[in-house]
Amino acid sequence: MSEGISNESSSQKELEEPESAAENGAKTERMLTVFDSPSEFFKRLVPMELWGFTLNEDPVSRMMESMKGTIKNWQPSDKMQYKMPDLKDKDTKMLRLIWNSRGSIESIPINLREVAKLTRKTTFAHFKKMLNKGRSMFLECRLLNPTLLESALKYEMIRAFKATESGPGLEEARKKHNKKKWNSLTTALSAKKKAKKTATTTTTSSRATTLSAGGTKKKVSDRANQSLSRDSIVRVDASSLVNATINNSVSVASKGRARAPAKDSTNTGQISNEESEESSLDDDDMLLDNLTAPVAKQPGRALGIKNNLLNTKTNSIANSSSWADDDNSGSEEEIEKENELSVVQSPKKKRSRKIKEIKHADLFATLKQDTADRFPPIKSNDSTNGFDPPGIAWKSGAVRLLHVLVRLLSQIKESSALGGRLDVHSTGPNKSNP
Amino acid sequence: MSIQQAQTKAIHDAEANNSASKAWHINNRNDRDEPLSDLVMHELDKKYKVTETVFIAPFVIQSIAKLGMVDTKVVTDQEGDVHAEFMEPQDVLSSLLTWADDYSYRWSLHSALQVVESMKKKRELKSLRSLIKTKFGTPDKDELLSFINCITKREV
Repeated sequence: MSEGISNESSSQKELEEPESAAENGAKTERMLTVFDSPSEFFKRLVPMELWGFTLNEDPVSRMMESMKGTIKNWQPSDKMQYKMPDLKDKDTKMLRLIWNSRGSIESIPINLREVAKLTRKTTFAHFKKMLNKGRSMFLECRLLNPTLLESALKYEMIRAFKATESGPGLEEARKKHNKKKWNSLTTALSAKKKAKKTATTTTTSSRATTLSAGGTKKKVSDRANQSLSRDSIVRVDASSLVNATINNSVSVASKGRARAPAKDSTNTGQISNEESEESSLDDDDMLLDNLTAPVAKQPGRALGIKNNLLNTKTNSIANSSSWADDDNSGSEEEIEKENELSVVQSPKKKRSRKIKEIKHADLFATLKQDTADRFPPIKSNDSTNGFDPPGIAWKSGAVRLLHVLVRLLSQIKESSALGGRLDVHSTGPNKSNP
Repeated sequence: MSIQQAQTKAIHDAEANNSASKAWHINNRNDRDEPLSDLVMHELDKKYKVTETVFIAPFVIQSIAKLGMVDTKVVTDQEGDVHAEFMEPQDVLSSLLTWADDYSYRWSLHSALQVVESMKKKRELKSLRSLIKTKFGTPDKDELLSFINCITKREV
């Protein structure tokens, strides 16, 4: 039994190996003959393929393997500083052999032989140059498409440059393509950074809110107390306050903002009469900051009180009562608002993104979702190239879609049979499995 | 050309192509004086058998990709554009096989999509839409219309 299996496998090998060798040979010959095509892009791509044949492995994966460190450390800010190092002579021995033996092409069609004659004008040095250019293009493509699979790089390049013909045209297209990709990369990166920033701020704010959650009531009551104390400050005679502020000591001012925020009216009593009037403006500010420290977080309010005080200072005969009343009423309202805001707005709610308008029906949306059991069949990573079975919900959705389509098909047939406008003679393929 | 004719032609083309490839291999072996055993012939027959993939036309592949019925991560570029033209019919078939075991299911899907393609070519999508509006109830109607829009809309 085992002998039979081994025989089978050996014969299979026999079948496969010469086939692949023959295929490679035929491909090589054809590539050599069509190397001298007018397309510059093709000229760069062909040597890569040939180089891959000589290596007997995927040239792209080999290149990427050798440039692993560069690719890993590359940042979009680096732009295109990197170039593939040129291949050494010892690396291209086999390629040179192929190139030199291109005159002995036999299995190619007659019409291609003429082309093969033309390629003889090209030296191997030029061919190698083309190869290096091609390799650099692949590296660029790899750097600018970090999420793309290595196997898809070639297709990406073909997609981008297939329309180009001459060398300058290719260079122009390459520059455009690189710029476009680079822009998209940088924007994606900045968006990512922004998202990260917002995420960290959200977490810190949420942490702050959780820390202060227990003390919210306390905060409100504290603020109420502060407002009361401030009222008491405000009700002090304006002139005395002016004097006090004018004579505010540097020590008090220097302690300034670092001092504990809640200050009661006794602080005014501590103010000494040591400093001159010249420094009064700054000191006033400092003092006011001290006095209104808990309120100072709201710049408008603090500014309003400051302005009031300054007005009082310049017009020594100030109407203290009206001023006090105004401030009192204003502060109460503001404090109420503030309290409301602090309760309602303190954990800044992030605006939920607007959900994009889905143009398709629910099932289509369901099919697109990759969550839970709604994922589509995904290509397995093993060598079998098979697909993993989809999720149950996805499968039921897909089957439903299929049934609807079948119904549609039968309706179309019916309509065409009845002589409707739909003239579809379709009966589909033979129902027997081909 | 009707869908059936198109499919018959596709099968013939595939058969011709496959037989040419098979002949090339046989000739190649003959040139190298290698024997053509039964096993080798069996392998070649197996390799060049006309399969269901002949029904999976480019439009069918694109439609299946647009409907999200196949994993398109491999052919999605960095900007999120899906390049269904790079998908192989064999991949699509393998994907379909995971949930549509029955051949008739797959046949129905291919046929339905090919009919839509043919109507698109004939510029009869308007009448198809009106047919859907008249013959189908509300949820199915909306769903079908959105499918039709999805698979027939022109890509910018």
